[in-house]
Amino acid sequence: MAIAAAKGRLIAVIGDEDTCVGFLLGGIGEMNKNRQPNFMVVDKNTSISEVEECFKRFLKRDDIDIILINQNVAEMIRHVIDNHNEPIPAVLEIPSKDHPYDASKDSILRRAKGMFSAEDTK
Amino acid sequence: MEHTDKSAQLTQVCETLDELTLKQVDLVDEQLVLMSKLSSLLTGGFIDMAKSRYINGEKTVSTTQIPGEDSIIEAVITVDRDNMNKLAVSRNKEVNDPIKWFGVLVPTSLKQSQQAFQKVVEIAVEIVNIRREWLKSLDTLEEFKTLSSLKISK
Repeated sequence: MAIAAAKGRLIAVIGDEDTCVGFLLGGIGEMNKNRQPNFMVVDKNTSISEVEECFKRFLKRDDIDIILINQNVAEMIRHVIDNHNEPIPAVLEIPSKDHPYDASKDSILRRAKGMFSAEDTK
Repeated sequence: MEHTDKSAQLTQVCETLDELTLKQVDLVDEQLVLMSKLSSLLTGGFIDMAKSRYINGEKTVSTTQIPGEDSIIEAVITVDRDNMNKLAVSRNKEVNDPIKWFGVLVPTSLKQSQQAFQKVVEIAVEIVNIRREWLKSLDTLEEFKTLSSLKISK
């Protein structure tokens, strides 16, 4: 994708009810007749494929530059997130009320893990 | 003569590798510090949400308050992207304040929760920007390692 300046891009949220309500309260929510909303509430009944489909839809949209996702939800679709290598939209894993942030699970931070091995110190 | 040339080159390569590696570690550290800040703010936001529910009732702060599928909501907070993919938060003051969805008289805790989430968004954007820089520096480091291992083997 061409690197071009863009204004008024959205922040999307995929997370549990409190996370979504919180960010919507904060003002990131958008919904209009033509598009789907830029948020998705994930609860215990939500299937992995629903989350995956939503994530992929957000990736395809050209008006979303950041996707915030609860880390425990990200775990459900880890393989999809690991395969996302474009800078835009940026995917940021965040903690939820019940699941603290774990840096070792973060898809992006894990890229550094393979970088340094014992070989390098020779 | 050739021997000292080579060892001088090698020293320089090692120094540059050290610099790049340190820069990389710094950037990861920055991200982790910010993420920790973000986590605390989020926790505060959730606690304030719980306080509001305690005052006004369970359902007063839930997805039932969010306008339904047929409504139109305009985002208050968006991001602008420049040519280098750097993001900046932008606020639209003309749009309806989402706090209005939660009732006419909202407790202070709900307003505080809102502020917490707004700050979280700002920190999230900061993290995204540092990450972009970090990933670029990782690439540079990787390239340099390949280059330098070619030089050393000669």
